[in-house]
Amino acid sequence: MVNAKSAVVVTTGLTAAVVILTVAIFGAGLMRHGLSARDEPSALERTIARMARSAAVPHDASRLPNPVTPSDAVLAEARAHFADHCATCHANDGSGQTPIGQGLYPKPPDMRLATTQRMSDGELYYTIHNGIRLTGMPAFGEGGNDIDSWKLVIFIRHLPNVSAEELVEMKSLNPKSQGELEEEREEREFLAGSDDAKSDDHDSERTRASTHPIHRH
Amino acid sequence: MKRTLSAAALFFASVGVIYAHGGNEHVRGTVKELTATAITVQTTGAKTATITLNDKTMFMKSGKHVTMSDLKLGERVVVDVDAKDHVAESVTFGVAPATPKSQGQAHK
Repeated sequence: MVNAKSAVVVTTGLTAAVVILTVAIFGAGLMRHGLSARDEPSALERTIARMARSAAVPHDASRLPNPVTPSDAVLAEARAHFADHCATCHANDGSGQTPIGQGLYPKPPDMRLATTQRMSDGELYYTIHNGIRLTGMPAFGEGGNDIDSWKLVIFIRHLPNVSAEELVEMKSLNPKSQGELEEEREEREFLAGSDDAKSDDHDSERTRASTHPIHRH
Repeated sequence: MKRTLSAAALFFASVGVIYAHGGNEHVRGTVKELTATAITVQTTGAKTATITLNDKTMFMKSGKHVTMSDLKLGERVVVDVDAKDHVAESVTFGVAPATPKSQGQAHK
């Protein structure tokens, strides 16, 4: 009886020591490195995050079938929607390689890969519609069955096969500043034959900032 | 100080019609020379810019993917140049098609 009690005390003591040591190491790491969003999540954080994400999607929701039938028109609409709403963080090709995406913690996944493609339609829809807590992924769409999010699921399925032409089209649909919209308008007019576009005497701030080694004569 | 300002003014004057956009730079003008590896564009300010092409450079005519052989000397182009490796990502020419709009009402 005494031996059993001693064993419990020793086990509890050892467990407490391990927890304190782990917290101390984690705390020391925090004090030394801080909490920069530039870091990559550790393997432990990734595992916990995946488990939390999986647990966050209700079982019934993950089994929901996509009510939208894929078609070229649906894909075109979803592509435009993705370029406008999602590509700032996820990139047009779904790689997540954008300045904002790479500045997030955790970074957006490469949605072309199996980790995302293995998710059910229902899981993808739920993630788009409800977002993911403690990440940069907001909840999109309004209440009820959000058809736009279901259409996005169709485009996410298409991401591994997205074509160069699609990417060019999407680039024209990405959110732009007033200056960029003006530049696009000038380019369209220039290609259509107008000579009214600004000449190279035009010297914008953006032009000044460029330091490209394009050969000029 | 005066020398620094003059050097800066000279640099800015040499830049030509090149704009930054989405992390890339845009060069617009007419095609002066075209080879498998480079395109030389005469900008509207009568300057020229030579930009490297590679096998990933896309040629887009009026929104359609075409080949380099569809591009003729003297044609008006907009070249989208990657700001990192300075290679042309796309060469656009022809009248641009109307831009499709996102239909995502609920996500606005």
